[in-house]
Parts: sequence; structure tokens; C-alpha cells
Amino acid sequence: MRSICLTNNKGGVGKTTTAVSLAHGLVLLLRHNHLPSRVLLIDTDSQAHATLLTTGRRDWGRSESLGEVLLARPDRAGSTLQRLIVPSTWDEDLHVVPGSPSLDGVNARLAEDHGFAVRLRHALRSVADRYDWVVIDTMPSFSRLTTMAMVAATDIVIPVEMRFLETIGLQAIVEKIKEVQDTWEIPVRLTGILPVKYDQRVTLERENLELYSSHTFYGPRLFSTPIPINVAVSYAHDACESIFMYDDQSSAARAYMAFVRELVERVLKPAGA
Amino acid sequence: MTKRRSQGTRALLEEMGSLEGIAETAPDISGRGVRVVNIVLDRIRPDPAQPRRVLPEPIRSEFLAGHLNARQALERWEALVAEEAARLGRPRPDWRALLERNPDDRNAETFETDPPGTPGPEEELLRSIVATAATIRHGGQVSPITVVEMDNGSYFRIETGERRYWAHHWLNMWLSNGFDQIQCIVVPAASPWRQAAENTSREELSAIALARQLARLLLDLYGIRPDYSRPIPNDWYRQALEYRVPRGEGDALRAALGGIQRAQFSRIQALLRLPDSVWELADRYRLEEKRLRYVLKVDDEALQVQLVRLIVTRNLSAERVRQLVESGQLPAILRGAAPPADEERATVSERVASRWPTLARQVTQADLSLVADQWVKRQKPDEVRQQIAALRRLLEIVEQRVQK
Repeated sequence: MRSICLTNNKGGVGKTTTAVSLAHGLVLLLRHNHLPSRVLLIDTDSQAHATLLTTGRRDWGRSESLGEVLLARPDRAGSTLQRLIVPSTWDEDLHVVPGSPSLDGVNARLAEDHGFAVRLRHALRSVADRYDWVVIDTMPSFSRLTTMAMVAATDIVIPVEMRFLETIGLQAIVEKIKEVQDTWEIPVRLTGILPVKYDQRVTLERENLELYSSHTFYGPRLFSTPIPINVAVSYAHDACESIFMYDDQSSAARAYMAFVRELVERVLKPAGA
Repeated sequence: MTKRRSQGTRALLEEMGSLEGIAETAPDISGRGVRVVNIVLDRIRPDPAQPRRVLPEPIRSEFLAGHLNARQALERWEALVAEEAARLGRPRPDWRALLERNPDDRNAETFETDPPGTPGPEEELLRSIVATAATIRHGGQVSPITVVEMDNGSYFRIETGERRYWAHHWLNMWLSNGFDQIQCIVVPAASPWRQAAENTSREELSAIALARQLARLLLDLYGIRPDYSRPIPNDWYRQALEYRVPRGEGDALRAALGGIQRAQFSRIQALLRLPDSVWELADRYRLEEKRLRYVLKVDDEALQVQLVRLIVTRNLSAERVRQLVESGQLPAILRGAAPPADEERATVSERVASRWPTLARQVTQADLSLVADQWVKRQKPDEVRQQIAALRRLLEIVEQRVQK
């Protein structure tokens, strides 16, 4: 099972859009290639936007959402996770563990638990035979929940805008990933950096992209197709549909599918292949 | 509300190329994602969106809604065949003899199990299931059915092989031992395209089944999939009338429908406009598109149903149907050939009246306990009660007349 965590401590960069597009794109691409295509989307953000988009609801109570797993007795976390999984409204193969506003309270209560970070990682073992892919959306901060999401992941993707402040913050995220790797001794890796909301008409954005492309650390990690800024994304959100359902020929849909394709390749291709 | 503009994702996904090159850790359909296992029949459910129907429609709806179990559904079907056979003046099929017949035994006598005359559609379809059951009984299950795991393994939904599933239930019902499991290939994800390939390769689909198949594939191209948790209403398929074939998908779609031509595709799609009652009749009697296309030109639903009944009962050719519809006198003609409810009742009455005296004489000589045993065994309690009530009325009438 591969679990992909989308993270960036800055808000509004497109983490949720990327998470839900990745989750649905994986289902479509894997099914098209006759591969096991069941995908689990886990929403660790208390804003629960990924949950709203994929299930049409954001009023899931604490007992129906991820918080219940995180506060369950460790030996029951797996069975609790299985019980909470709900179908998405997008695709029969896309399932969701809903997030809810109660996650803020859960985040505070996790302070009392020294083993909090491995809670989700352990719970995910109970569904490892049912899902080959898990996508985890995170909140815009380095909270305990975000740490827990990173620990549960095998791969981390950072969506980032090619603007000055955002690119400055990128270094902090990379350091956080390193800290998680060292502290919890887990083999999670930074699989890629995805330029999002990219507006090629803006000179500064073009220059920043060029700068990062030529950087020795970031360059090889950049995904080759930036996600362009595209009004179809807003319309898709408005219709509670994925970008592929709303307008599969839009520039954003095409770029997101190219990203999904490249991610699958990076994740599955053995190192050095 | 914004309007969806997606053209289906197939073209986009084709552009992405195959993942074959990285399949070392991502197995294809013949690898890790697939397993072959024996699964208990009770854990398997037919696909409610399967375009090709096996059970008669009313029984199918009740079965999918959970009002009947598989055994009850087959018993109901058997009763339906018995009614149909009586209506057509045919003997009731000897199911046990059919099940005993080894399909490999080319010298087997056939006259006992194949009475003369043309069986009705219900009998024909049930006979084909029983023939499959006989093949499985004598030769084993040659090819496994394909299923998809649902609700985290709580049950499996059939992708292909529903007839083999019902054949196993039939064997289980008649022979009880050794047929409560069926060999399945558990595929990681259901594909309506694979199902379509199976449907069109096995035998010719009825025009209505082909229309449903077309709708299912076209909707799949737009990412629209049925809610498998309940029976699929015909209106779900009718959504396909609002969608055009996405650019670049026409050839693949027509190939999946058995290689039909572009013009034929449009005519089949148009059949989706017919009402439910016409779908049911036309599907059961396997009417061809060339006869149904003229039914579309009739405005009134009641007339459409009457016309289809007329096509069935009189076996009208496509040309004759065209002439009827274009004559402008269809309502008058159909009134003349009107719903034969009374006429049919009269025919049944005549048939029973002519046979009853002989049968009544034989009743006086028969072992009544044996007759009662067979009667109760071969029919449902409710049906037997209805027949007893009718017989009581008959006896009262006869007694009154005898006394007079």
C-alpha cells in the first residue's frame, strides 16, 4: 500500500484540490490500466473541504470522522477506521475517511499521547489488503495531525505556488519532513514538488519555476507539468465534482492527470530504474 | 448550478499512455490483483446494471429489491413457465429429465424432454439455464464467473457469468449437494467494457439489451456509474439520450457493441425512448430493432404497447409493422385486435371445459393421496389455495346444476 501525503503549512495553495484530484485521478488511471483501482482518501483537515467535495457533506460528527480513530484505544483503531470509511459520491472505487471540525479538539488532546504520531500509521495496516493507494490531505499548519499524516505516509508531495513567499516557505517544509524521518525513523520520502496555480503570464512565476528547475535539490523533485491556474477548478468545486468529472479537457484536468501519471511512475518505478 | 462539460475521461487517459512499463511493482490484471476462488453462492449478487437480463423482469425486480431469495426467484420463474406452457397448450417441461440429460451424449432420445411446438420466451430462457446446469453437472464448471469484491468483502458482485450463477442455484435447488459454491475470478475492479465483450461474444443480444449496453458504455465514458445498492431503473439508462459519443470514442464504442455501424448505433440509441412496458415485452420476446423502430413513431404509450403485443402474437414482419404505422389507422386496427383479455379468458375456459370431463373421470380412479402430494409439491401454497377456491366454486356450480 502506498500512502501519499499532500502537505504545505501555508493555506490556500491548493492542497485539498490536489488531494482530491490525485485521489480521483488515481482511480481513473489505474482502472484504465486494469490495475487495482480502489483508493482511500483521508481528510485530516478540520476544515473538511476534501470531505465536502467528495461526499457532499461536511457535517460528519466526531464519532463518524477521523477523530474517532485517533482517540480510539490503540487495539481498536484499525476496526474503528474500517467502520468509518464511507463511499464517495464521485466513484465507487474512491472511499473516504471524513474529516470534521472536531479534529481541532482532537489535535489538542493528542498532546497527552506520546505515541500519537503512529496512530494513523498503525490503523492503516487494517485496510492494507483493501487499498493499494491512500491519499492524505492535511491542514495548513505543522500540527500534530500533520505530523501524524506524514508518519502514516510512504510518499510526500508538496504543492507550492511559484511566488516569492511560498518558495521561501518550501525550505521549512523540507526541514519538517527531515525531522519526521529522523524522529520517527520511518522511510517516508519527499517524492515531489508540484507547482500549482501556475500563471505563465506572470514573469516572476516563470522565473521562479526556471530557478527551481535548475536547483540541484528541488530541480529533480519538481513534477514536470505545473498545474495552471484555471477557472474550471472553481466551477468543479461549485458543482462538488472532480475536475475530471467537470471538464476533462480543461488545462487543469490535463495537468492533474499528467501529475497523477508521473506520480505513479515515481512511486512504483524501482529506484535507479 | 454549473453545467458539466466533461467529455468522459477516456481520451484524456489514452493520452497518458500505458503504465505497462512500470508494471514491475504494479501488476496487471493477470497478476496480484486477480485471484480464483470458490465462493458460496449466498455471498454473490448479480449486477443490477447488467444490460442482458436473465430473470423475467418482475421477478428480477423483486429479487434485486431483496423481496425474494434466489430459490424463490427460480420457483417463481418455474411457475411462470408452467402458466405459459398451459396457455400455449404445451406440457409442463420435465426439468429433472432435462437436468439428467448429458449434453455429451449425442445418442440420447430427445422426444421425452422436448415436446413438439414452440416454447414461449420464459420456457426458452429457463431451458437454456437448465441446459447450462446440466452441462455443469456432467462436465463441471469449465469457465469461472468474474466477480468484484464489494463492501470490504461482505459480498461479491457478478461482472460476467450471471447465467452460470443461476444454473448453479438451479443445481443447488434440485440436487442440493455439491453446488452451493461457484468458481469465481475475483477481479480488482469491474469493467463494463469487459462485461460488454462477454455479452456480445456469447450470443446475440436483444435490441433492448443492446440499447442498455450502449447506454451503460456511453455513460461510463462520461464517468457516470450506477448505484449498485439498488435496482437500476430504466431511466438511468435513458440518461444516455442526452450524451453524444465523445470525440475519438466512436470506433471503440461501436466495436464493444459487436461492431455495429454508425447508423445502427443511432437507431439502437433511439430505442431508449421507448417506455418501460415496451422494453419489458420487446426484451422478453427478443424483438429486433428493425421491427421496433416503427414503434417509436407511435405517439401514445398505450398504443405502443398494443402494437408490440400485436407484433408478438401475429409475428408481424418489419415491413408489415411499417405499413401499419404509416397507414395512419393504427388506433382503429389495434382496437380491432384489441387486448385479448376477454378473448384469452374465453380460450382458456374452452380448453379447460373440453378436458375437464376426462380428467374428472380419471380423478375417480386415481390415488388421490398421490395426486395431492404432487399438487402441493409442484406448486406454491398460495397458488394451490387459489386453485382450491376455484375448484370449490366449480363444484358448487356443478352441484347446483346436477340438482336441477
